Amino acid sequence: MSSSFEFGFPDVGFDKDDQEFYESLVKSDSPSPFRGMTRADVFIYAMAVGFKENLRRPIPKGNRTPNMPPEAFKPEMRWLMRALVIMVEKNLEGIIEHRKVVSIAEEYANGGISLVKEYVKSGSLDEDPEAFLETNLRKLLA
Amino acid sequence: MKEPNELAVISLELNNYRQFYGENKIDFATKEKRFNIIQGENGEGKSNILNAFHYCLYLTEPHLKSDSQGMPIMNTRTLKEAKENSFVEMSIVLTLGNDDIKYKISRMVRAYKTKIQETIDAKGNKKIELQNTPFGVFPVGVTPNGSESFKVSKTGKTWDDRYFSYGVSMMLPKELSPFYFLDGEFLESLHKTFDTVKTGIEQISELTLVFSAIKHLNSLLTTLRKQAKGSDTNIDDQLKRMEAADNWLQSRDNEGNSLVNENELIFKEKYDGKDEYHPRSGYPRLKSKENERIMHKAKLDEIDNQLIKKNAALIKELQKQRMELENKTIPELENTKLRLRKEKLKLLIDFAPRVYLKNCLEYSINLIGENIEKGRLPSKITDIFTQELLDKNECICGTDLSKGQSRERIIQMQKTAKLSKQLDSALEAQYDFKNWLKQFSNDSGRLDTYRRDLIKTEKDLGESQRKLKDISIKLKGSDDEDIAQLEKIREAREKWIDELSEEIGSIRKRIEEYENIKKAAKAEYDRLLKANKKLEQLGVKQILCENALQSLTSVKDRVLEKMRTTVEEKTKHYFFNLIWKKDTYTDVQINDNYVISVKHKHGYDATNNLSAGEKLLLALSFIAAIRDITGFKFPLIVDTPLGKISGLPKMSVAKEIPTYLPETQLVLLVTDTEYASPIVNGEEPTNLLPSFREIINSYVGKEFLLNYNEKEVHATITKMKPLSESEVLQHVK
Repeated sequence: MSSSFEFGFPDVGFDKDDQEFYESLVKSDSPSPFRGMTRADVFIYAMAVGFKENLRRPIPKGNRTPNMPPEAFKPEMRWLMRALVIMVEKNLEGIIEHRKVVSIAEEYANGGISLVKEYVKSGSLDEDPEAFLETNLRKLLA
Repeated sequence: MKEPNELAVISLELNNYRQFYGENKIDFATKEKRFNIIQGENGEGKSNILNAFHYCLYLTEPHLKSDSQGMPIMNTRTLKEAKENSFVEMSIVLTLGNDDIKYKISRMVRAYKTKIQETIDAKGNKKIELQNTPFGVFPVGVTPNGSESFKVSKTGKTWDDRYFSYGVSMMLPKELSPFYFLDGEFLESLHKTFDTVKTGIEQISELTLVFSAIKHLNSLLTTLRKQAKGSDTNIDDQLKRMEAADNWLQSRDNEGNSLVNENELIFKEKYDGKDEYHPRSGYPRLKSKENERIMHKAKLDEIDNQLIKKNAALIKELQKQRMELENKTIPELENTKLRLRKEKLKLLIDFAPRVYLKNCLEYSINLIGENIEKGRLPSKITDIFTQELLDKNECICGTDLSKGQSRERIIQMQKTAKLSKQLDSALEAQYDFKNWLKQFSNDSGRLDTYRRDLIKTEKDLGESQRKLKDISIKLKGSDDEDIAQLEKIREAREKWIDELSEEIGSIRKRIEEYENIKKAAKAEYDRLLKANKKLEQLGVKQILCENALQSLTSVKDRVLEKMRTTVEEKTKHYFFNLIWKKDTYTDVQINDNYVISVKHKHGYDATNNLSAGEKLLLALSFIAAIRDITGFKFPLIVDTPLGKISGLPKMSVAKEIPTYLPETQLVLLVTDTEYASPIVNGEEPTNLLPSFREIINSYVGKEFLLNYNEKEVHATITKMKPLSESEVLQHVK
């Protein structure tokens, strides 16, 4: 995947009110399945879940905190964002506009993170997070 | 050869100190043969030689054994012989130095004796009444007064006086003395007592000023918050919540007094006459319970060692199997389980977004494909192709392209292609998207493999646990009552440890809850304070104070962290230089909680299963690391280093110890069993191995024998008879 194409990819952000939640998920002693991973991993997961459950929510004005640089995202992750934008916009042109890609991805991640919060609150991710994630996944693979 | 600034003990004079009646002097070896040995049986004064160093420098005796506690510090025969209404003197003189400089440190106690008070105990025996004084325990009727002096000399002939406290602290600060004056118990427990490790690292970090400033700022913050009380009920509520949470976390009441649970005695192996209770809550309770768990685990190790030493072959075999299961098989399986879960989780987190966005991937593949078919992609080709046409002025169908609408159309097509160049990246993406979709079944298969492997590992773990239970049942049912009893005690300890572990987990959760309550209350308090115009200035002061506290805490944490990792690296370096099983262990770590651990090559924590010799080397490695960093080149005085080491590990320690800190003088206070007795090989008890003495003989400068004459109330120090030619053995590493 061409690196010159990636030039100008902006920082990715989320709602500053979710900052603590993101941190709590990735801490090394967190019980969550994301422990030891990065916030970018959480973001992409939330974005994907948000799209699946049709939860596109803009970040409230003044709350966006762009604190994940493009380097935090592997190229595969950035292309997942673009695939989502292609589907949403129904054309290829959108992928050139990096800011648009990030903006749409952020909105789905913002919706998806609220679902992840529900999982945590309900204790679904407490006892056996792998089992919970695997069950959800296998339903889609079936 | 010694570095110029390494200090050695030249001599120690003990005059009327404890067992040492009259004048007693030990002249130590200081040059190339740097080992000095003082051999004596228990109770003859070895530990008091260690105490003498400490008393001379710091006026305390931290290594007092039970038989010396409650005894006068001055020799009892001297006290008895002295006439009433006369002076008696006790002194300790320590001479240290190197080729460049010498120090003479003296501590003298001059006591005025009147009539010694005596009482009659219940059995009708006379008992001397004793009193605690700043100079130690003295009989009532003897009033001590002390003096000290610190002298420096370049030649050893003329001496200059220096300020005592300053001189001693420049030579070896009291806080670091536990790492230079060592006893066997301290060495034995070092890897278990994270407090000691933490203290060592904090001391060498030289953060006294920072700790002091943090303490002061905390106190100031408390005062400032008190000033906000009474102005607003909501603020008061939040302050109360913060205070209550903090008090719970520190297990104290509103007045700052520590709170304990008087229904919960701390378990002690040997009752020392003091009842101690677990703190009621928070961090102190957590620490207390963790310490208790460590103590039980250590006792469990002792029982295991006792069982494996039993003569009955079957018992030995069962215990061996158990140790193999507990120390190797189960840790390896648990490691495997952890690794598999981690890998499976990583796969799930990576895989899940692709599954959820499957429709997007498929749609993108199709759309990119359409664009290729329509010639819109790759635009690079369109650009080249249209340029060629324009250059030729003719289309491949023969249309004239030199001017007019046809040419315009081609130019427009070229412009569009140029704009779309960036879309050419989508071609590569299409390839990748297709691969990802193809991989779905692979990744799904990998998930199945992980699931199967995890099930198998769980099954193997269950099997191992079942085998452990069987072994325990067999041992409990043994005909040998000792063994059956040991096994019952072991089972009880294990249960105790499990209960403690559960309780510790629960305390940790509650601590987290209270920290969250405190945090939420503070956030609300800050918000209310900011909104209150009357308290604006107070709010500003508090913010300044909190910011300063945060900065200092950050500095402290960073320095401690740096120091911890440095000590960790050095400890590891020394350990792997000393340890004979170089391939068995792969790492030494000091974690964030200052717990030292040694990692086995199979990936598990082997610390609790180190042999006594290996534990000693680990402790000595840590000491060497601390010593390296502090830069205080003081000799090491070690009391009973080999007390719990026997057999082949003792032989291995003997071979390795000469390489330990090759420039440092070592004074070892040992028993005959530790030092001069032949080493018994546990595997072949009739085949006696050379003694520790014989193995290190070529490194030993001087050997002394300590003899206590109970009748004379006097310990004498004489030179040991050297080994004969035939007794000296050369051991090549």
